[in-house]
Amino acid sequence: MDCTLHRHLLEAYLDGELGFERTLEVEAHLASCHICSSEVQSWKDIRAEMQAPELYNRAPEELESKLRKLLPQGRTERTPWFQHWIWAGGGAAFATAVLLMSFVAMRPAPPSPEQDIVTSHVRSLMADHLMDVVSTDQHTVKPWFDGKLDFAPPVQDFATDGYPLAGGRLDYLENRKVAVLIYHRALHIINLYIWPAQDNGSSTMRVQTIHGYNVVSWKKGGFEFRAVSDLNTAELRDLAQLFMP
Amino acid sequence: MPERFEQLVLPHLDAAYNLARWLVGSPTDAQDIVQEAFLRALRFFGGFRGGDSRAWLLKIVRNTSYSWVRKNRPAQLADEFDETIHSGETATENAEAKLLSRAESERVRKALEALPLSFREVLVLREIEGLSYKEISEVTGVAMGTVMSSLSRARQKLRDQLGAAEEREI
Repeated sequence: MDCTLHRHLLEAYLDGELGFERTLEVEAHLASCHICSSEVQSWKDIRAEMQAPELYNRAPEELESKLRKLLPQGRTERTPWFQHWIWAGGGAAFATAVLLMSFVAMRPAPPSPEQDIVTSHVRSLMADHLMDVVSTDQHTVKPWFDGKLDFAPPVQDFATDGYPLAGGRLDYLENRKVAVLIYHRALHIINLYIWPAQDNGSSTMRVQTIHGYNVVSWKKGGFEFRAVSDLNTAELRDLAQLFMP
Repeated sequence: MPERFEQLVLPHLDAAYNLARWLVGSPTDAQDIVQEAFLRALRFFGGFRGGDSRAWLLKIVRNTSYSWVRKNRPAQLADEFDETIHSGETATENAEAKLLSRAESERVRKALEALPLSFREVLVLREIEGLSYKEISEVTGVAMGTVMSSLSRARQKLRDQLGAAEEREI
């Protein structure tokens, strides 16, 4: 009655995840083993039921039209209006130039990375996605990043200094994956963004305030750091100081 | 960018909705989740390096669904399967279900819905959405080996659940 074929192998066969040779091996086995072949058959029956159209929830049509409205509009629409000024006659050339310049000047400045970071910080607090790994242990948080990033961020707990590590998560900034460490300071939450710097140099701290949030930026040991919080700048700088003894 | 997004992401809307629906249950909540995931996808699209756009989108939908569950149904995240609660629930629903439909798919739906979230998720991705182990690993962020073993456990649980339902009907 006993069958030596490993259950996982049988399931991998069922899922079409075996290579050609292994598939043949399992099929040969199934031809002679009733236990395994009835096991496979029983699962195939359940699978057929699961793949019944009633179990697949298609998106309602109104959802697609709702989502299409959220798509950003292409830039092409602005061109005709712009060309209109170019076509203005010779006498108006100067006025056109002035208008064009003011048009350029009036355009909002592209968001700085710090602004992106503040937005990301706010979103992390709102969207209930503050942490992917919850741990106060740096030896848990650091390995968690392994294989998820192409760099190993420095992870340190500063509980004894009043900045306990609370966890970490992955985030995206300017189209790249970054590591985020979450620290607590009393009731404040600090998001510390870390990604590889262009070079190995160090920089002094810069402090900015954007929409009421403080951002402390520094570079050290080949990494860029941005600490964001509603915490006061002095205490935020203290945390930064802990990273560059 | 919007055109490329439209071509790569919108075709997977059904898959996105199906997953959200299985993870959170209600059609209204699933729609909200897909909409939020879609906005996130738009934001992160610059970081999408090509490859499997379905798995990429489903990963965002999955994470958005989990955030929602964590906030609105935290009890569901307790991984342990509480036999007493589930058998109780199904027993009362069962009387009604008997009158309504005997269809096999309905039986499977109930059994799937009674499974803990992580088991339901892996089964929906594999059996209903037809994802490979590699794709499931991308979507859920767990290693391939873990995908295999959790799929195996999930199958066992589903079978137990189907068996239990059968016994009650007798």
